[in-house]
Amino acid sequence: MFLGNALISWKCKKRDSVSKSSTEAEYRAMSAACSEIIWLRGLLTELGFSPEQPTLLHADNTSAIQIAANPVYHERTKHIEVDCHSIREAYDRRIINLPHVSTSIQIADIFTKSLTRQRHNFLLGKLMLVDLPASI
Amino acid sequence: MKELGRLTYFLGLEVHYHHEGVFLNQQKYIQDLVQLAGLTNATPVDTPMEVNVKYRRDEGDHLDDPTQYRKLVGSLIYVTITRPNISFVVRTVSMFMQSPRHFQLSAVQRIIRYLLGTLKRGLFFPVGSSIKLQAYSDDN
Repeated sequence: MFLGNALISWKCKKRDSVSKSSTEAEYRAMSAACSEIIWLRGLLTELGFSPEQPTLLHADNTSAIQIAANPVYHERTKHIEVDCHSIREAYDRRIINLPHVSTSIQIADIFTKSLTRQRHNFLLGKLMLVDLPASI
Repeated sequence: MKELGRLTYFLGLEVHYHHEGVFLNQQKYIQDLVQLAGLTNATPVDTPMEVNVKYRRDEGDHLDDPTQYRKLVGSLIYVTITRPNISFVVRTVSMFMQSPRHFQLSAVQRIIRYLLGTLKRGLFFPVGSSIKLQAYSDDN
């Protein structure tokens, strides 16, 4: 998660349950990210920087975005625990917004698999992970 | 209570101030880690993890001294503070803490050789950056 351009929070975790589909896995990840967003927004508010706009949560799976944004019953998601669906409420209350991001510029890619040198270096720049500036 | 001035070094975390922002890295901590691993003269590599390698629990021989493996991985977890790009591979090697094998130790050594080649790298927090929060989530 970025505040402006600066990377302030990240998490890479082995999933703790087996998912029946990639959409479900992605949905769980989004839900976890959503909890972090709610906490960070609370922290920012406490510091006097109350966020006015919904926070953008970028994900690359359109079906998972659909499940979160569309509160109808889905046959394929009936087994997902209720706590995961808190993301729907956050979306409803305009705390988050769910834009789609193409996999090629999905920054979180670096936390999910091993990458080629080229792709790895491309994402490093996005994370603001740089060498110590010479003038220090 | 004593005023100690600006924070510059705390628990291995180095804080550098710059007119364009604040820079955090752990150069000294990583140098000590390289020494602990006995890789001071190793050849650096430019990515932390090999592509398309499967790490399985039952491959290769057990290590004689699992404590060393645990020490190295524990230190690597601390290094992810300023080097989030190694989080994934560090998570992978930490799955084998219980009974590490030679094959997995070589993965740990590769991460450390990667760090050896990029000692000065760290996180930069630019001044005047907006306070708009943005998030990315992905799964694999």
